[in-house]
Amino acid sequence: MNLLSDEILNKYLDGELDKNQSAEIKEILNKSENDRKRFSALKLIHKELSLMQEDKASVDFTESVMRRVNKKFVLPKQQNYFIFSIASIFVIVCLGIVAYVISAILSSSPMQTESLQITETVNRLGNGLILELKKLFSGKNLSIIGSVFSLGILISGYFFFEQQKRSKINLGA
Amino acid sequence: MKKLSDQQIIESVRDGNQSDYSIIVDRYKNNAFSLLKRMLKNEQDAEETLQDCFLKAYSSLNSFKGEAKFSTWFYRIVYNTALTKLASKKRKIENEMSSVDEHFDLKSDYDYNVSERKDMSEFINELVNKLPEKHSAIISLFYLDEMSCEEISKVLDISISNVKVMLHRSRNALRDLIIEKNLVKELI
Repeated sequence: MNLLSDEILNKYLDGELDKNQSAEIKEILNKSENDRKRFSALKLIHKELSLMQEDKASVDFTESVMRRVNKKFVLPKQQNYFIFSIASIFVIVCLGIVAYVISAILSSSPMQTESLQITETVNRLGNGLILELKKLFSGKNLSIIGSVFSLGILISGYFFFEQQKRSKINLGA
Repeated sequence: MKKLSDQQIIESVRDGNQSDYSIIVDRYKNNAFSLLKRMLKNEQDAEETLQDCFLKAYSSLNSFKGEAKFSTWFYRIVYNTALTKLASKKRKIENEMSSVDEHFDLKSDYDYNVSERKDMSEFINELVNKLPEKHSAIISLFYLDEMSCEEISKVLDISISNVKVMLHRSRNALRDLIIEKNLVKELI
């Protein structure tokens, strides 16, 4: 006849019983062969499970995960940085040109008095802006600006090409 | 060399050293693979799902606050992804209580032939694979990952007492089978 429940045996195995309860169980196990057999089997199962080996993932598993991580998260981020930096350079160059033109207009105009109308200032600024831009994009200046932009485009093209090459290598690896 | 903690590696990845994530992958891939293989009962599915788990974990690294252990957080992702995978395969996913009440009969599921047996550990391993998903997950987390019942309850999002019930039930089923097949003496 079984005296001990499965729950008690499992708790005894896991050391979840207090001293008195454990002593009581020990005594019962000494007396009951059936319970002793059940407990021995349970203990052996516990031992075998403790010795259980982990299964191995494939050899190239880590590389495979890292490739997917790069493809999904790292490369798009790098490409975004690249596009952002090119756009920033372009915006800075444009702002520089506008700032240069405005400063040229302001320096060529006579000193303003407070009583002058704002509209006159805006008009003069507008006309001056057109004139200065015309001056800037004509003759020698135009070829200089053209050269600077061409250089910028060449450098951007080089980096873009390198970026694409790296992406292809990462995807193909 | 001093072994880096999970938290240190995560901080490094967050700081832009993405390649350090491979240390985390190496650290958890085999145990997580064992868990998935036992739950999905298929090696290929387990490996594909595990890759998805590592991608999910990477994309959610910023949401990991470090309040719980990384292993608990990661195994929650693994466990939930496995459940989703099982659901997508239209397997029957039962809720917590029905899983606790789940009755399984290893004796009828497994036809053990002593002459075909290679070794006992392989036999036990095969039996564990025959257990229902949640039960085999608990066995895997308890014995392979050496997690406490409390940690397992957090991973599976069930109560500690239910973890214990399922753990005991699994052990009892395995024990009953080896008693029935008269393997106790062999094991001793």
